[in-house]
Amino acid sequence: MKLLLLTLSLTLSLFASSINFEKDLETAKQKAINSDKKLMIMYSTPTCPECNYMKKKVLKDKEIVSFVNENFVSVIMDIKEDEKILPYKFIGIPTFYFSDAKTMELLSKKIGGTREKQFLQIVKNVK
Amino acid sequence: MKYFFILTLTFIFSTSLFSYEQADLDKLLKTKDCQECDLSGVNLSNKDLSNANLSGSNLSNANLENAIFVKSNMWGVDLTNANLLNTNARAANLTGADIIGIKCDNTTFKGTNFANATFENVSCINLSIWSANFLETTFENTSFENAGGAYASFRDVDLSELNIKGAIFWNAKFTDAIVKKEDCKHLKNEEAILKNVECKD
Repeated sequence: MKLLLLTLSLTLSLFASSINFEKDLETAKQKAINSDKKLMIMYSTPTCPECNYMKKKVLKDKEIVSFVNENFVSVIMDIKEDEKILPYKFIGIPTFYFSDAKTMELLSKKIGGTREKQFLQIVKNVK
Repeated sequence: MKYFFILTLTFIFSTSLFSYEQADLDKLLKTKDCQECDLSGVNLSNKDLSNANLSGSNLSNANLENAIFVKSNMWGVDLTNANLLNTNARAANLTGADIIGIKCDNTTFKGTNFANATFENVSCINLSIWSANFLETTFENTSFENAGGAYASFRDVDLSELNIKGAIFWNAKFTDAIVKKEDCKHLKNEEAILKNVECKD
């Protein structure tokens, strides 16, 4: 039964119309560890235009949604609200951090907004 | 002897053209408030001048590389031939500024106000103009190629001499503007919002 539910949720996530963002970093970490996926952490604020471009346009791209949901557990962190629990230092937003959920080792990062094609390449290059 | 005299005069004249007032620089660094100051040719690279008031100042030929002018008031500044490589002028007020021949690769102008500013002979790589405001801004021989400019606003502008090839203008607003025909196509592909835009051949 558990296996069936897991398979079902995985299948649904592949066909989701948007990236499944977890509510907080701890939940995202646990889910990533349990599903053997990497973490994608986006630093943002609700009023940042570049972040909103990424959230509303680039991160809605079907290919990106499918690839990210399949390979990452994602979470958005507000640099003001979550200021005290941010795992990495930053110099600007949006910044995307790709990390190992168990060790929180940073695998790569991307600062700033970008087009769909480049972002897809970035997530595909995370090793 | 005559030539030596002329050379000396030329040297003195040319250096005085690009030399700032030391008192003005001291004032700026001490108070972050230096209005109508002569800061021509000054070196402010790597300085944090967030929230500074530089309105009406002469920053021509200044080195502003890696400097921070976040939310600074730079109303009417003269930036002719200034070096703004990697400069962060997010949410700064550059109303009426002369932006002529500047170096601007990797420069951040997010949410910056360029109302009535003049852009001339400017070509930037990786320019960031997300949500910037261009009201009655003039452009001559200027390139924003591949810039990031979603949510930017252009109003009462003639963009015939502005290169916007490849620039991100998703949800950017273009109102009462003259735009090259091929750029109109680009803007529509970008899902920019066009109101009363003349697409010119």
